[in-house]
Amino acid sequence: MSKNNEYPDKRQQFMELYEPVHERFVRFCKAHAYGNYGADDLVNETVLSAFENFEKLRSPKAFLHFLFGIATNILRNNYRRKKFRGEYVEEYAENMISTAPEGEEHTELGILYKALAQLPDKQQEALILFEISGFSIKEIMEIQKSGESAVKARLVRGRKRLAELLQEPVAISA
Amino acid sequence: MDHLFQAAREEPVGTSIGDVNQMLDNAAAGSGVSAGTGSTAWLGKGAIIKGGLFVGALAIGVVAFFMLSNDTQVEPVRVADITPIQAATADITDDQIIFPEQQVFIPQIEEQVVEEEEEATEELTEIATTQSTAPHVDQPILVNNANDDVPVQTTPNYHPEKKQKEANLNTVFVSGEMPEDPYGLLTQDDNANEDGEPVAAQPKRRIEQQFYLEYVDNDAELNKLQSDLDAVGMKIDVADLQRKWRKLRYIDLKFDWESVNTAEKTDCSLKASNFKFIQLVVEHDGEGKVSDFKIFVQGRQEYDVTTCGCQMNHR
Repeated sequence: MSKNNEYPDKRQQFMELYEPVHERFVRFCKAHAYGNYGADDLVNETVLSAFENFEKLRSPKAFLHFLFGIATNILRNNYRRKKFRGEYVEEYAENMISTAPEGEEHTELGILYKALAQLPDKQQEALILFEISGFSIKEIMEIQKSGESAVKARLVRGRKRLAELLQEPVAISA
Repeated sequence: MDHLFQAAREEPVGTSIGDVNQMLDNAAAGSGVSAGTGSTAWLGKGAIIKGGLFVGALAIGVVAFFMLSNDTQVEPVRVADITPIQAATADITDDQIIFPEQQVFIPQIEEQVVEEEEEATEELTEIATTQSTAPHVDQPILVNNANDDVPVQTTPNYHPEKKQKEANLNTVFVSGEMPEDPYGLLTQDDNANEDGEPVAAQPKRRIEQQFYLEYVDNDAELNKLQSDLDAVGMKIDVADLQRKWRKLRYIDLKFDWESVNTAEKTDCSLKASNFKFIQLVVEHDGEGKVSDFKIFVQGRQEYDVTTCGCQMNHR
């Protein structure tokens, strides 16, 4: 089979796996990248990278871990690069153009995303996947390559910490 | 908190699945590369970003290279320009050869050295099989030590730290360090003091004495070498050596003096800058006096030096 003919098959296979999770994936990117990276950019980068490396995916069952892992790595690498860019200067920071969606910084969602960003990575990721993207515990276990108890613990601890950050009474329902 | 999550779940997503399809179409068209080719396919925006990163990394590498070159103040030279003498005097590390004013990445030179050493070793193996007095030089030389059950082991050896010094070669041999009668061979019995009275036996030291012959245009140093050799009972006409071995710009003599003192026969290794193996074979009477001293170069006996006043002969 020529490469040109191979491409539609690959595209079709990729989209068959990607399309069902698209909306949840975009929500994940939006919440996870808030303030650090453009959500649309993260979606585009991740999809392009996932498609480019699609041959490396050995099993369709691993697609969620594959896709979300790429997004997480892109964010992590971006964060690492930012650490080397200079010292924090408050006056300068206040004048920076925010990467958050326009008008959203002081909305309730903006507050939520900021609070989520203060959680440990795995907790933040688990909470976003569960509460915002709507994945099941089982799917999160697959994405995070973790056991059920670990995922539930992250959700419980994450909610507890988030409530403290939002100064709300703790309501645990994982 | 739950109402916040609820709001986040209900918020419209900005990027539709149609947008994703369009992005993949654009990327495939923009790259000009079949996306089915795998990891080498660069797509659209991703290609621009990766290309930028690549160019950036390349630029950093080039700048770092020049900065490093300036820091070390060395001038890279081609491997083909390195002469054997330069290689011999260089400090050879894992990945480069360094000599006073130049730096070369060295894998080829290292291979050359190894090959030439192997050649010379093979030749010396032939000597060892034909000359009863010549030990096998590619193996450690085991010599019986009178005061120790453990054999003394010597091995032929380069001395790169010394060879570093002779980057600027001229025309006359000169000696390196040679302490005066360092092992008491000429002045004192091991078991007697200066007056000949018995004393407790001193533990024998393992002694390796080395001296280095280098070209310099300094008569005083030439004379010092000559006197050093005379002082230990070996008369070598260094001026004659210089005439006969003009091509040898550097030689390194290594003697295990203790073995000389305790064994009837031993040998000393000597290497020259052109990688020829030179072997010295010393015979003595077991009391510290050398009775025969031969020098072999590339399998030929070049010198038969009989010490204690005897003449040195060339063949």
